Amino acid sequence: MAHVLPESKERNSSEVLPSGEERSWRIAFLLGLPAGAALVGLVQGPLTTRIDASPPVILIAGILVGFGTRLGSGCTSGHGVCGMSRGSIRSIAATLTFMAVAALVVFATHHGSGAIG
Amino acid sequence: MKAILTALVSGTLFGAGLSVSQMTNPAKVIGFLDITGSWDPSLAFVMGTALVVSAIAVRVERMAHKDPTAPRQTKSATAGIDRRLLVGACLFGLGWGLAGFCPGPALAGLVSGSGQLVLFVGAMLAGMGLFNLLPSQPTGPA
Repeated sequence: MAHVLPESKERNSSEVLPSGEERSWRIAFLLGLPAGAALVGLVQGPLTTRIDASPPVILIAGILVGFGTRLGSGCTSGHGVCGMSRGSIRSIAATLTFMAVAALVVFATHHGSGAIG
Repeated sequence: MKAILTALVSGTLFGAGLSVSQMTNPAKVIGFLDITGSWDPSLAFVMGTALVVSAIAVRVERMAHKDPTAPRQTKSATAGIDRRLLVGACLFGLGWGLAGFCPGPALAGLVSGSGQLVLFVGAMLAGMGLFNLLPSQPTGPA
């Protein structure tokens, strides 16, 4: 996501969005995401976004995704696309790690005996 | 102003791409991650294509703005891979596998007006905020 663009070298770890001029374009980028999805919706009809999990699981998943993104300095977009496309070793390691963990979670929840959600 | 407009166009393109490719559909994402079940590899092509296009863009950008003072990236096999990176990626993977949403598609998907996504994005922002409670330490680049 936006907060891992290569321009942002020395980010202060105590902020979700930086202050000053860096902030404005990041907010513009974030606003573009739903805008783009809305445009596609006009053509293709409403998006399917149904999550197959109970509210408590969604809550925990959201916290894990948010916290993990900050701790690991990136997500599917930040590491998986942006980081790997610039050949970052860290991004390759992170992407392999979260892909493997996510696949294990899906295996456990969909094929394991104690299905969650 | 130009930077803001560029970012808005980038974000809009990205949001459109995530929606067209169905990254905003958790069932599709879970199907992609379900390698031992009824595996749906189509999102691998989405990510692979995005990676190739992005890598070309990075190359073009680097050629256009050649900065001789820019620090060279280290090339050693495990450069910069630390515990924070890997623990963060594990926690992220846990959440991604549970809900089928990661940050970009979650924000894009908000247009659906889904209460589930409002809950997810709220929790995600809380999780990002929670990170601030950790003892201050610079995190590495992506």
